[in-house]
Amino acid sequence: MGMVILVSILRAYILVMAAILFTYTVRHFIFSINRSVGEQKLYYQDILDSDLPYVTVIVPMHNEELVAEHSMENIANTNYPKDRLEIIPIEDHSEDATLSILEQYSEKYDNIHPYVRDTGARGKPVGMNEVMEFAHGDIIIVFDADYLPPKGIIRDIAISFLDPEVGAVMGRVIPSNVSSNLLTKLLDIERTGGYQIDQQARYNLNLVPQYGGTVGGFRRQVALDLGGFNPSIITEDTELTFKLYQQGWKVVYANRAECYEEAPETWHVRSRQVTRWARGHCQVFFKAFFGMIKSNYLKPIEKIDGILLLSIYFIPLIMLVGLFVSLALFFLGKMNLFTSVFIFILVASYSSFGNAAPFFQMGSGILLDGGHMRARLLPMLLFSFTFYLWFISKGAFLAIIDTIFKRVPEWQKTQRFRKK
Amino acid sequence: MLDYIDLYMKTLVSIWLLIPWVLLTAFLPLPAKFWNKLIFILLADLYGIIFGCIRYIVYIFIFREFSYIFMAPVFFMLVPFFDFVFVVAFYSVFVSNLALKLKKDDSKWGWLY
Repeated sequence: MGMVILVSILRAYILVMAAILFTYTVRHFIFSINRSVGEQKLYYQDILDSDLPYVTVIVPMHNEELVAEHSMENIANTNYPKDRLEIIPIEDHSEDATLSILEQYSEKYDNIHPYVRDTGARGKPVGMNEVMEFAHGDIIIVFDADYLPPKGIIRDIAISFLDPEVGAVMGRVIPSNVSSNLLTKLLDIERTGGYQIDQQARYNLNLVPQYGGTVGGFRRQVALDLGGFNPSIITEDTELTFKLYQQGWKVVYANRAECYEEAPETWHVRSRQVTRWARGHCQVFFKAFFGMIKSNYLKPIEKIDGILLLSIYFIPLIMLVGLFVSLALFFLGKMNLFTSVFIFILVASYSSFGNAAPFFQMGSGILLDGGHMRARLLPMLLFSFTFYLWFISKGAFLAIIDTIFKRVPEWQKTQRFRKK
Repeated sequence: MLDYIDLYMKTLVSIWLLIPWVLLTAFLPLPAKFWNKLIFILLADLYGIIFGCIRYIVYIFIFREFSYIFMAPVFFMLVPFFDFVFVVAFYSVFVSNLALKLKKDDSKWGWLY
C-alpha cells in the first residue's frame, strides 16, 4: 500500500513538472514568434525634445581598478548635455587604486563627483540609497563598473522618461569579451536570447519587461517613495521592478540602448554570479508574489507573466528534483514510457536555461542579430544546462533557507578579467 | 534486462516520433521555405534512427561484456541527452545556413525594435 502511494506521488510530481515546463515552453515560443513575425512596438527614440531630464549616472564600484578608467572615460564622453548630467561613481570600501582613479577623473571633469564609502555596510543597494538622497538628477541611470557605455546611450535611456507612465527603463547588455573562451561565447548567446527576444517580446506584448540594475534607469523620487532598495535583497533590480509594477508604473525595454559588459571568463566566477542572481531573484519571489497577484494596476495577463518571471529561477530546482524522482521510479521498476520520454521533452524544451531562454529562442535571436557562426554553438548549451541545473538550484535553495531563517545574504562582487 | 530493453526501445521510438514535432515547432519562427525545413527534419530523424540503432548495439555489448550496473547511467545520461544534442545540432546548422542566406537579402532586415 505504502509503495503504491509513493509511486503515485512520484508520478504526480512528474505530471506537475511537465505542466510547468510546458507552460514556460509555450511562453518562450510565443516570444520567439512575436519577435520573428509579430508587430514590433516602437521605442521612444524618435522623440525630439530639447527639454531633456536632469540625469544622475551612478556607477557602484568595489575594487574596480581594472575597469574604472574605461567606464569613467566612456560615461564622461557621452553626448548627453553636460549641464544636465551628473556622474557619481560610488567608491565602496575599495582596497586597490579605484579611489585614486576616480579622483583623477573628478579633477578632469567637472560633473564627476565620486562618493566615498569607507564605513558602514558594503553593497550596491546601501550605496545607491545613500546617493539617491543627495543626487540632483530626476532620473538615475546605473552602470556597473565593467560596462562601456556608448556615446548616445544616456539620451536613449533618458528620453523614455518623457512618458509620465514610465518608472524604469532597461537597455540591452552585450558581452565585449565574447571571443575569450567557450564560456563567454555561450554567455553571448544567452544574452541574445534574453534581450533580443525575451525582453523585447515582453515589451511588444505589453507584459512585464524587467529592469536589470545596470544599463537602465529609474525615477529617483519614485524609488525613494517606494522605500529605496532593501539591503537584505541581493538583486535590488528585480525588487524595484516588481515594486514599480505593483504601484502601476511601466517598465520599458530599449533594445537600441546597447551597452558592452565584461562577461565572466571562468566557470567558477560564473557559478558564483548565477547563484547570487538566483538567490536574489527567489528572495524577491517570496516578497513580491502576493503583491503582484493583489495589485489593482495590473491586467490578468501581466500578473501571469509577472508570476512566471518571478518563479523562473525555481525551475532548475524543480527539474533537479524531477530527475531524482525519475531515478527513483527507474530503480523501483516503475518507470513507464511517459516518464522516460518526459526526460527528453524536459531537456529539449528547457535545455539552455541560462537567461531563461530555450534553444529556439536563442536561435531566433542570433538570426535577428545577423549572426552566423554563433548559431553553431547552440548544441554546446548542454554544458550550460547541466551547470545551471546545479548552481541555479543551489541559489533557489539558499533563498528558501534565507526566507525561513530570516538570514541576510552577503553581497558578493563579480571578479573582473580585463587586462591592465 | 528485458524490461530495460523494452523501455529503451519504446523510449527511442517515441523520441523518433517526437523529433519532427520538436524541430517543426522550433523552425516555425524562422523565415525559410517549408521544404527546406522538411528536409532538415527528415535528415534529423534519419540520423536519430541510425544513431539510436548503433547506440543500442553498443549498450547491449557493454551490458553483456561488463556489467548491468551501467544501465541506469546509460539510460539517464545518454539516451535522451544524446538525442537532444543532435536535434539542437541540426537546428543550429539550419539557423547558421539561414543567417548566411538572409545576409544577402536586405529586405529581411527591415526592423529590429
